[in-house]
Amino acid sequence: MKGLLLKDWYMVVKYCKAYLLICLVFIGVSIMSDDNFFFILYPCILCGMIPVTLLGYDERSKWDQYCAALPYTKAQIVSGKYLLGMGTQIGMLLLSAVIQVIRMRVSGAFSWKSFSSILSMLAILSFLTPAISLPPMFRWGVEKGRMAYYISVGLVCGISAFVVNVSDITLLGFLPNSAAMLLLGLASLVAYGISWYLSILFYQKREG
Amino acid sequence: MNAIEIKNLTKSFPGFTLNNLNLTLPGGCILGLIGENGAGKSTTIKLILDIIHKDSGSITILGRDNTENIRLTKEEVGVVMDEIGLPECLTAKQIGNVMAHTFRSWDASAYQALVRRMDLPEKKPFKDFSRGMKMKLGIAIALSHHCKILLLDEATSGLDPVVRDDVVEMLSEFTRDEGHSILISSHIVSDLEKLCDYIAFLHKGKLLLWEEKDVLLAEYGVIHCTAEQLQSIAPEAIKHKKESPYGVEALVLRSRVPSDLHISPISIEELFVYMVKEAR
Repeated sequence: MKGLLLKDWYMVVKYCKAYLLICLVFIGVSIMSDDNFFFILYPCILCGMIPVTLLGYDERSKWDQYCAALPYTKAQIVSGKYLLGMGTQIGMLLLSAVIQVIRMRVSGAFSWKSFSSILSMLAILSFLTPAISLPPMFRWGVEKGRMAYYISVGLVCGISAFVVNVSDITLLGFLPNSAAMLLLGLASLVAYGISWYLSILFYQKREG
Repeated sequence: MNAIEIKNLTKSFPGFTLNNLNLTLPGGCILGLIGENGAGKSTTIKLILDIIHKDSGSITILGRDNTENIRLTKEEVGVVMDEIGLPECLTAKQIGNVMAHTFRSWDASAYQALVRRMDLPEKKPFKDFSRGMKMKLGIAIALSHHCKILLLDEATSGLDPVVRDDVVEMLSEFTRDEGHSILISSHIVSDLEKLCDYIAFLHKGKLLLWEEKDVLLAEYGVIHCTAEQLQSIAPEAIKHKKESPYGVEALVLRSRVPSDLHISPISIEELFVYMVKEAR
């Protein structure tokens, strides 16, 4: 499976440079502005789209068909995308988390309760988009599975927009109790795992 | 040992059925799978690789059922698809790195030598390659993991004559080793005529013929005669006939034609066209 991961890494470096730039700009803006939730969350949402983007490129170049003739199982092909997605999402999540710790320390508003809540929110948004959009894409292909992608992005952006639009509520005031947020964060990880399993099942049934 | 053995293979899709296919690729030989577009050539290759699943029948590759340990089997089978299917942004060097982590028996020095021999740029993205260069790179990959069988799906279509000749030469070199076999599909019959030991005709999912090429050329011929002369030939010896105001042109079995009639040699392409027309 190393070959699959290496190929996807080459593609990330080539096609997703713009993502990284956007993420850095958003992280920079989030440091400057107090409690602007959208700029904190968006880089994680964007990183969650990377596996979907790569699947689209794979289908366009017919790599999915060629790969089926290589010595990989369908489970490995699916797992490659989930592992790479997980790597980039965790990387961005950690970067965002470190930046938020610095921001909160500088402003003197740091508390473990609020930090764990932000971390959980970042995890939910990082893993929700791929968890919803990947199984239909592995089942029906990127073109037909695009509807699920739009739904998941809409859902995630809707959550972000809701957070941003609650302008009269400060970040710390908005967040519900940290235990509930932590549970939701863990639930998003479980959803990612279930999505991974379903994608393997769906891809094994798919012919092409 | 036969490289590939297909027995009673059936696969149905809406509007198309590959029907009860029986086909053998003997070890050390080149089998040309000839058929029009949509005849079932790519379906057959995908079934061999278990990319799509058969409805019934059996396929063995190098003596093993193709559904058993397919990963090991794919190590021993080199595949070149019509559209190649390599990522567009990757260079030949990067593709080599990916394949080194894909095939256990990957030979990096053989790959580099092939890339250099084929004059392929190492640092140019795949999307900027010409059709001929893409095909050559596909073949270089297939030949760099010491495979025993090559499966080529329309690998020579769309190539200019010089590149096609290079490809044919590489394939000929591959089969100099007696343990190597090739199954090559194409609708361009002239490509396969030069190369193949065995020929199979597919038409609308049915196998019309599978035979050694030299036997076919010795067995069949074309006669140009009058309608009266044609009547002197046993009806079962006439495989297809085309009548015109100037006479009759017929595909015949040489052994059953009276010796006073002149029989012209037939090309595989002509034979294919006659047989498809007869099957319609």
